[in-house]
Amino acid sequence: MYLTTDQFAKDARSAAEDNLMPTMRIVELPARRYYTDRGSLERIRPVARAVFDQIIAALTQPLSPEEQNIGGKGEEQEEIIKITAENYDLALEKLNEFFLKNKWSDGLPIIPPTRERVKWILSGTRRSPGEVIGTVKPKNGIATVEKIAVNAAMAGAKPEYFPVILAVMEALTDRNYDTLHVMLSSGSFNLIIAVSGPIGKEINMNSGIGYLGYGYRANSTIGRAVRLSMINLGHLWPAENDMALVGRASSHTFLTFAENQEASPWAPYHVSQGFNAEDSCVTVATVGGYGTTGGSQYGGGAVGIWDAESIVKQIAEDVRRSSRMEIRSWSGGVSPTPGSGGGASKQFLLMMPELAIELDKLGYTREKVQERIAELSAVRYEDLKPEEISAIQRAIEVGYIPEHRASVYINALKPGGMIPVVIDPAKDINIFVVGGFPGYTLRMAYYRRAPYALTAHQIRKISGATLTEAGR
Amino acid sequence: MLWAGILIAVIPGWCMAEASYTLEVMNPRGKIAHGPYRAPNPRIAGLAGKKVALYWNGKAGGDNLFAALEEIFKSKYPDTMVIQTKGTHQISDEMAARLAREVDTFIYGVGD
Repeated sequence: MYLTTDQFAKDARSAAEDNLMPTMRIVELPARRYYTDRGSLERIRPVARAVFDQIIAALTQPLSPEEQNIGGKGEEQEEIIKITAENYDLALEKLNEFFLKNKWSDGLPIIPPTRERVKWILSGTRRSPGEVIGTVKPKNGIATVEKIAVNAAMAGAKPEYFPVILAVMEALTDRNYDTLHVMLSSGSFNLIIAVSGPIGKEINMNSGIGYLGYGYRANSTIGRAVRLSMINLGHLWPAENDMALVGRASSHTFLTFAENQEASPWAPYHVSQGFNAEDSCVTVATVGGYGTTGGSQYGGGAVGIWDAESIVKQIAEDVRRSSRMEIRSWSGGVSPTPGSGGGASKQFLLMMPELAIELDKLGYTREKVQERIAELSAVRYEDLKPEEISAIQRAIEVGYIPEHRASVYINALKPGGMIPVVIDPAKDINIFVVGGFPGYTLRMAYYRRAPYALTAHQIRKISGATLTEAGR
Repeated sequence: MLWAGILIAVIPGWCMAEASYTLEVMNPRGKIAHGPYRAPNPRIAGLAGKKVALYWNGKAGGDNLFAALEEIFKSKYPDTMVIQTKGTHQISDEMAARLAREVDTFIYGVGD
């Protein structure tokens, strides 16, 4: 039987159903007492005593017929919904209430996904409406191109955005992407949706001042289409199975932006990931929420004076501080340990163009910045604890430290050596040039090894577009 | 009659008493595909002489709760053996097999 708190009981029942055992027995502890009293044996004793008889009953009372005789087929659903009212405005209001009551919306009013509207969205791609992109966790709803188009229509997206939305959904439904953690965890993690390449400009995405803010239909509705798709295809709902305790900043749209290529001295981000400059790509990555692996801000904006080398040093210091504690978990190897993320961190720098330009003047390429941060954030061999040294050795043995980086660690594991906390700078420090003049540089981070799948960082080439020159 | 009905439908606000507007929209929900459900294993008839495992998922304070539960087990069911175990949030296949092999029932938790 499963023991949880009453605040997580719906979540536990939902997860039991997702794991095909909907009648698993669950005993609930009072959350108001458990979380404050769990810190000591003395304080938790009365809480344990209060539920003990329920625990015994859950372990020993025979299963009822209802617990034993359970179905297993997916429920049928009406594919066309008809909403009638006295006039259009009242029908629209009624539709919005109906969708929200059914947990099909995000709390903001939606555009009615009529057949015509969905067909219009589908006109933005060459892909077939019936094509299955994947399934969306936690409930593994089937994500067809058409279903994603329905959600994109609701979000207010335009057809020319649709290939970007499809690419994001491809990344999120990849079996190696850990959507369980970002969408469900109490840690309130968030998503970066970063477009690079010419399509960003063509569909008028904001990549300048206010790039994480409001006012641009493409940024707002691409992110919202993904949010609604996660709600409706994954069957998510706050405090039921999305247990993000404080929600998320930009929860309705995630952190959706385009790289500011015009202001960048370097090649687009996707080129650093092996794509061609003329390609258009979207990167999806989980980043920290509040207080976990959350971000930091650097630079002076409109009010402060800064210099480029100092900012690189500040970033490196923060990387060292946040990554140092993870070294022991490197021994976990390349596979996820279910439920336990860790194994160093992946950094995402949303770098203000001024900083990139200044660094470029100093001779830095994107690769040199990555290497410099890795170098400056390294820790002294003498400062490592024995269990950290053995974790690093184990990480080399099992391939968690990739072969091309193993010699760096082997050479550094001796007195006087400097041990990088950034395992693979080219992959673990991701730099997007974005923002206006002046700007701030943001650093966000997440586990290098996600808890429930291999990764939480994917890049996809945008393809199949019919209405834009890019992404065809 | 047919023409009147069409007029009522397409001219919202006309003939207020009978007018109506219908929005036909597509369902945004993804169909769920899953295999057959499984029922839990039959319960044990009683605790006498049984082995009970307490599986702590490592979340802060769960160890204190399970220590308290062990105390109560020992006082109320002295001939029941309680085994404290610890592991990742999601029980590994190896741990699940070990529990199935070595204990009669187990309690999993807690934190969220």
